[in-house]
Amino acid sequence: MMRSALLWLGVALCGAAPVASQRSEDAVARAVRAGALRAHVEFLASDALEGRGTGARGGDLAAKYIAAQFARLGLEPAGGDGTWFQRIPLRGRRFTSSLAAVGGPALEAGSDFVGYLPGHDDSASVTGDVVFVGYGIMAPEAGWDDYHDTDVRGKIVLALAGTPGDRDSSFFRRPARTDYGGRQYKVDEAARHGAAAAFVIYRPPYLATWSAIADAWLGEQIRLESGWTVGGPVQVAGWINEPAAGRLIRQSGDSLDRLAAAALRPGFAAVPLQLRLVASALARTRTVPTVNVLARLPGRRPAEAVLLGAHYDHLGIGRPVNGDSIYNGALDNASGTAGMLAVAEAFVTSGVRPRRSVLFAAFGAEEAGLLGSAAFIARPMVPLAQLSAMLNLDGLNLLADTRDIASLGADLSSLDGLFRRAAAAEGYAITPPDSPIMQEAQAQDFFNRSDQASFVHAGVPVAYLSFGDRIGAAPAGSGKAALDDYMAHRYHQPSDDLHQPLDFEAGTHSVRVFARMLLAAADAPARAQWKKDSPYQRPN
Amino acid sequence: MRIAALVVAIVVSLSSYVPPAASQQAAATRVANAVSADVMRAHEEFLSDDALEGRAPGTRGGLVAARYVAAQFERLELTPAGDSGTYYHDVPIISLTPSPQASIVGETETPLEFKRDYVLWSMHDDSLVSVAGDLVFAGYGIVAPEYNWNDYAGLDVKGKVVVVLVNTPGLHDSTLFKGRVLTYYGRWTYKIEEAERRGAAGILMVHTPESATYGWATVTGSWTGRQTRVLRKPGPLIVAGWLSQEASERLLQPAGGLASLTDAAGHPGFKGAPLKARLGATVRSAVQRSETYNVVARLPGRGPKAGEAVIIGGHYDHLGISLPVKGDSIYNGALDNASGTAAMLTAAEAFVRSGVHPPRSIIFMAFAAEESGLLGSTAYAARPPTVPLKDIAAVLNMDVMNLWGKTRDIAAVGMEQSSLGKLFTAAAKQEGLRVTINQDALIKGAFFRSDHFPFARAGVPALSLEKGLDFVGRPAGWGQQQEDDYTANRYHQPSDELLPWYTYDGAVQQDRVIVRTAMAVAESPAQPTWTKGSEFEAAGRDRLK
Repeated sequence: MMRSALLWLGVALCGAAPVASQRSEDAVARAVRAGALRAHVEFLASDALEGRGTGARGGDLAAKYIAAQFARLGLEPAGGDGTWFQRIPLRGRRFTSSLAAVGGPALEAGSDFVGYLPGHDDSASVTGDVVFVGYGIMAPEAGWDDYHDTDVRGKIVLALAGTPGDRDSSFFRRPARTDYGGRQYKVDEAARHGAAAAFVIYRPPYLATWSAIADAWLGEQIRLESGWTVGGPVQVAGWINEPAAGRLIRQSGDSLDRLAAAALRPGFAAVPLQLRLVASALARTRTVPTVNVLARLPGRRPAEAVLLGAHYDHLGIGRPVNGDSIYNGALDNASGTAGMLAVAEAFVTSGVRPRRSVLFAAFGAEEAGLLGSAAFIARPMVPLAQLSAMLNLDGLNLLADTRDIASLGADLSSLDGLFRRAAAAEGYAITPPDSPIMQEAQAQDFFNRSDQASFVHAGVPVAYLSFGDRIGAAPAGSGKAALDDYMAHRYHQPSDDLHQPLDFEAGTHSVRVFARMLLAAADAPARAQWKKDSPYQRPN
Repeated sequence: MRIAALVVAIVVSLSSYVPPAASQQAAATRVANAVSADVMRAHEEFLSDDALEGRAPGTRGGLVAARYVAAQFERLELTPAGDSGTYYHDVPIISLTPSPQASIVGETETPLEFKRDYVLWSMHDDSLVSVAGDLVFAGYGIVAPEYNWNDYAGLDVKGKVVVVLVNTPGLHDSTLFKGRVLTYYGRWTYKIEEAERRGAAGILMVHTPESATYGWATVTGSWTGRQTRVLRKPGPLIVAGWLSQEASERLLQPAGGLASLTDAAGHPGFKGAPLKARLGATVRSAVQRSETYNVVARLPGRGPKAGEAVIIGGHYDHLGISLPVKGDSIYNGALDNASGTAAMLTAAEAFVRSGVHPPRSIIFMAFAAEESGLLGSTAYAARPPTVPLKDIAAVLNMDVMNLWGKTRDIAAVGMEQSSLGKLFTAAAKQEGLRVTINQDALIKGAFFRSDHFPFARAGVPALSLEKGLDFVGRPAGWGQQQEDDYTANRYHQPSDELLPWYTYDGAVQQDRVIVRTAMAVAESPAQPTWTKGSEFEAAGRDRLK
């Protein structure tokens, strides 16, 4: 008994597979068809789908298309109440805000700052003393605490965007949590310390430009209904652009440069400033109807499940570029949705009956902040403890076939072995962690920028399919060059459409790796486990 | 290498759908067994959803439907069979809103009043046309060798304007033509086509409520507003129109009056004659051009007949968003004809899943703009993009499926017209269904009212599927009651929606008969033939020349 259990564990860890499962993995992989991938991408990314905007007609059409495909395959509806659809309870809000030093001139909304209300209130105003809290990070595992014991209750905190690791790579290296750099974390942390308002200081280098941040916050913010309550005592929050922050801090007799330099040093403690600010904001609110689309292929032991996900939403119709206002999102993420559908079809047509159930999930509202996956986590279709693994497809490799392939996040869990075996079966090398593309993935924080992040924080092991580094016989870095070109010219632009060259054979090849891995994870004797040194673990 | 992979994949996909004994079953049975209710339901629910906005041609809902059909073809790895290697066959559409002026010049000039006395429209795609020609009375305007009938014998109508009666002499004499059963010779579209073949520059059709089967209000309602048709090459015929009964009486008085001329025209050996009057007419039209698409794919046949094909089709368009009824303005067309499109796609999937490749190819086609007057099928028959008409062995059309439950019978219009009727009957028998004849549909001219018809007119044997009305587990007459209820309360209304009690059992029965019929045609040594004496026999001969 003991021996055989150990043997199974050994099998799972070293990645060998019994012959029968090898055969069914081969069958599933072969049944993933380029024709299906192309068909779904061409439909979902056609202008007729109007960019699949959240709460918009095109997004609704996409959800219904996906449901039709699930229904056609004879899968079970898994959205609740016998339907394919899980409602994502979204609330959209537009803000008008103001910010000024007490007795000083008002800052310019848009160019100097953007403000919002993190709670349910339709308006709020805070006047308070200002505390500079460095990067606003409390990371016990890294021995870092920007707050120390500084009392910020009822005060207005200013925190730098990003992490000290952005400027000094000896800090915050993986596997430390990487969401410390984001606005949401900093506002939440300020709330935990009792602050009444929190502003993040935008200071390049950062993931986004100031104008992108300002545009986003001047437009409608869409979040889960519950997402408007996590601000706790923080009544007003926002971003301040670097020059405006510099001017405010100068009024207190200090300087942003000096404070920022101090914030990089270990042992930094928050600095109360000789400055009072008045921050206020108003909100106009509406509900935004949208859904996740969920299907189940029942397993032989259906208590447990694995999940293959992809978000189907994109940016809808927006600001025209070169006369084109439809943000088709062909790669982002018609491609991943098509990959998920092609894998679902492969599971059905190959007739496999895995041990665990397989959930196929098309998430909505990803572009608005991973909201569909967050809604799923809030009301999961299987208890999260029984969800063995989540595999995510976001931006399939339709650029060119690479010799190597990578999976972000798999290396943190027992999925690593499954991924390596699946990649090898498809003739891929594993992309080296120090390769240009992996460095780029880390720099761009891809791991926290798609739906797997929602699952990671709930303790579910994940894997996210990434681009490889070498195209055909081209040298190292050619994969990154192709990705750079996409990121620079088409990412989140109307030109991410069907007019760019799309290599569906390459996409099919890479998706087959995840099809194999999904089946292996569904059939594995034990649930996927985080590695011991992973920063993420299942909740106790 | 790619072919090897394809074969492997087909074998793989077969294994889950077909029982082990599959290899011993007839190919047609394998295809029939692969017809899936899940697949049909999925397509039906999508296409009839409010999100599709009623699928009107030239609207975004219509475009989404076309894209959906193409995505399904592509997913099934069927061969594109539209224009330029795509699944889309362009249907160039023109809409004209006519403003005519006309007068009749005999001994004196008699101005005609538009809408009260006549309606007239341009047969050319121009915004301004005019005609001045001698009027010639040509009886029923029929040339039908199989009935030994020729109203144009000895008449030169080139450049002239013909005045004709609608319907056929059978209306008043049951020994002529098919009696009251409407043959194509009775349809107004036929009258126009024949006049053009004779080189006439204009045609005026005499309206009576009896011969037209509808009143003058229907004429003014249908032909004074926007008229949509396929873009066409200009022929000799410049204008066409209707003359009211009263205006006809006045015009025909000097020649003996309408009643006596109608009586004369109903007798064999009738000879037409000039009317000693001229028509002068000008038609200004507001012109709009737009485009829609038939969506077409081919499952390649195997062997020397692979160049020939059987078409399985259904129209995907409906009426779009229009006048609200009880607060609902979306004309979903769940039965008319999301259901036929879904059945066509389900048939395509059944062929692919079963892995059957018959000797002749199968063409799957979603017709565009049927509701605007069979425009998609007309455009296809006029300009087939990949397979020429001589190689199209048959057309099987599905327009409004049975979502009401299982039946013991099944029907089709066009059964008696060609040898397809026999193949259909045999296929129905294999599915345990008897074939009933729907006499009511024949009198209403159902054969001329869906997309198989433009093919028949071009000589391709064609039939259109109908429901059986003998429902399992329902009392006698229940089916007819449903039919009447649908016609009265939901046909062409926003309430043609998916109802909670609808089921796919009946439509699966129908679809199984269609795929079996298609297989029978595809496997037969020779193409189906027109029945001797059918009004399409001559066109059938011309097609094969």
